[in-house]
Amino acid sequence: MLHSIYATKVSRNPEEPVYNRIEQARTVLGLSRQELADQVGVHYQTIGYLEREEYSPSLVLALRISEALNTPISELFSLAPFKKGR
Amino acid sequence: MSELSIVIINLVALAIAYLYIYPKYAGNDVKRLAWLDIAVGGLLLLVLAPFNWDSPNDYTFFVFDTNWWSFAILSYALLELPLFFLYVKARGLGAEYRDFLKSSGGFTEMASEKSVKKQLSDTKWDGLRTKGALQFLVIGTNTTVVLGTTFLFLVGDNDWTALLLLYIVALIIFWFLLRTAVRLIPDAPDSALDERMIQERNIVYRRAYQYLMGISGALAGALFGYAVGSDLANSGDGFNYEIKLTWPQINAIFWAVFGYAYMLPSLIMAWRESKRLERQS
Repeated sequence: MLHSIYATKVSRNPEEPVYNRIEQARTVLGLSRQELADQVGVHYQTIGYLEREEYSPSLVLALRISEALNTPISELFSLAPFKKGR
Repeated sequence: MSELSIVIINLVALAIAYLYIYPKYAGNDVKRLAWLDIAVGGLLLLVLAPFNWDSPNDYTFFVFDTNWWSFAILSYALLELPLFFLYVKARGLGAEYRDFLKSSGGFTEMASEKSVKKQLSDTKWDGLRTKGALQFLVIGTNTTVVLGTTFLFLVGDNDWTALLLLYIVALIIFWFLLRTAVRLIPDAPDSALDERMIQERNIVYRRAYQYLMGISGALAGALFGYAVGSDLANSGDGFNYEIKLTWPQINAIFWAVFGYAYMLPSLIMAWRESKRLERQS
């Protein structure tokens, strides 16, 4: 009985984080979250989630953000944390 | 109250609905029409209930003997049928009705794209979206269901049963507040959400299904346990079982299952959001 309860517990699969520099690139361009959100077609809160690295974007969204921020995707997103000052 | 009185009240309700309420508040919106129709029918039963509550089952619907509420519903439906077809024909809603019934959502799609978009930009209810408010809503809803279910199971045939209405009202209020707190995202169609929200909604539904599986499994297990227990106590013959449930007890089961089926996705999303805010602070 206890085994079956344990087995049906919600599995947790922590997602590999995707680090990004959206906030820095957005600030340089003087864009608000709302403006960037409108350009890439998401809700402004989603930009907040992305900037706090609480959500990893799809490839389509990452490409749209890269285009909107006029920054190559490799400079905007990384699987490893960005070095400070770069 | 006689059959004729119920039919007259039905006709008055239908006249008000089809001449004023539906044209003014629903127009050509078939989904809104459907919900308003349910609301008018429900209201009618509430109006009739105090006059017929203790009446015997001697209402005759054509050749069948029935009770007051069955008679009210059946006669209302029968009287409404020609009016419904006239309304649909006059406004050319046939194709829309067919689409509505065929669509994947239909009655079960609980939030329209328009209402979700309005909620997504809402700030009026931000007080509900703080960590404390979200946790209060989740704990409050669960406590209400547990206490309400226990109360209804234990209460006997006395005046305290009237508190059932208070329990239902409390559940409806919690349901409304929860949906507002999570901006209708669990009930929203894909077209109203962006990719993060769709992902979050899907995670929440998967988890809600698991919990619902636990609740329905516990109920089914209890039924099975009851049968085995009856056999062990020699009160069953191994094939036929008798379950005696009072009206409050039936309500306890109904509202717990129905309440969780509707509220679990919002409950889980509210709890996840409160945990996210906790990590942030």
